[in-house]
Amino acid sequence: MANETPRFTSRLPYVIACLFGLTLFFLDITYQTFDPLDRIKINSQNFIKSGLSNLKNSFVSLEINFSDKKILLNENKNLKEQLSILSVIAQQNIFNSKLEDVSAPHRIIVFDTDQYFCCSNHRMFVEKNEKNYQKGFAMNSSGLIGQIIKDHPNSYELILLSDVDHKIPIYNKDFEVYCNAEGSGFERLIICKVFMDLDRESIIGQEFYTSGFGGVFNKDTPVGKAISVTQAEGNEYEIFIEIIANPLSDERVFLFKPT
Amino acid sequence: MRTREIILVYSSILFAIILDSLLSFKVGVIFFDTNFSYLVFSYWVFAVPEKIRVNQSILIGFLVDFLSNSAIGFHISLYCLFSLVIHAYAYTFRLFSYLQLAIFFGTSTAFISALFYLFHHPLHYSYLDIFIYWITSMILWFPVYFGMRRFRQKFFYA
Repeated sequence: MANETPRFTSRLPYVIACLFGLTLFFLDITYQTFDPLDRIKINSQNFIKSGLSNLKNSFVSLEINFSDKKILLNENKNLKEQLSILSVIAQQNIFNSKLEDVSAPHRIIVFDTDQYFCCSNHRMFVEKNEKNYQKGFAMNSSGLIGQIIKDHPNSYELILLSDVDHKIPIYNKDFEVYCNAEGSGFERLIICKVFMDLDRESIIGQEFYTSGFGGVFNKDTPVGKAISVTQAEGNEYEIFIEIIANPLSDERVFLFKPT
Repeated sequence: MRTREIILVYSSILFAIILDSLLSFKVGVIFFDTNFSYLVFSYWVFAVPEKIRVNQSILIGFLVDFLSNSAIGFHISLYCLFSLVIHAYAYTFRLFSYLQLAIFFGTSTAFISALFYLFHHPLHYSYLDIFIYWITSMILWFPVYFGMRRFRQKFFYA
């Protein structure tokens, strides 16, 4: 009879360790027990990335100082910034908000694009400047991208419209459709569930705007266009809306207090 | 484990976590992802089972949980589970061909990723992605195996 293969350790410690891991996993998934640990991770990650980015920028500017392209590069940078501000001002005029609410743009410190493309958590971290925000929404030159969800010591955490935990009150004037559109977890896509009879063909291509409910977003900000409609059950319809704004288009975002 | 060995094992795991965050991208509807951290961890358990025991499995699992976007405890439990399997068959694995090793470690990597998407991002669970993941993990096992073996022979026993 063949001997059993010798093992390096007994199985019991591994079984206990597995159960210990599963307990931690259950506590974290169900009760978010380790959220403080997560905050420490986010803050340290933001601090390191912000520091590295500053260091990189200072090296780049040092290099530029020695080159002839300095003036051109500076001009290019200023023009880009002005263009981005002009674009946001133009959008502000669309929804009649106050211009004095436009503060200096906030630089994006961390945006996990892997998470954005593969998974449902669509979060972005932007650096703080002199203005403080308890709540507010975020735009870039392409449009509305999300809202402030957490205030960290060195950054603001933004939740994007497409995040699976995000909801935004929107409406369409022509069809009188009002709903709380939920983030789909997929890039630039939100889902609006309505309980009314819809002409599925004619609603495709319709623009949706913020309805102003909820106290975070100003009224009549363009959000997106309906790209498809599916009938869930009975007279429940799911309208899939493609978000106009692309969070990847700019390196900076503008934050606004709701007015 | 000696301090030098601990530093080598943990620095290789950290390097693998950085590689994981750098080498993932999307082409069309397919998301290419890697799990170097598990491949490197399983290499260490496979190569030096007498050094990487349950305590190290818990610590490495916690490190991966903390630095990646998973809930705490997910990698701890799975790393301990696979550490147990690798320990139990440590001598049997010595008889396996490179291809058989690649199939085992590639499959276990794909299993961990499938569970990750199932628990953390069920909306993004895709059989096509998991299949591609399985194939890429098996292919990636070869560079990890030979690279880590060279690294271990050069620095671990120095």
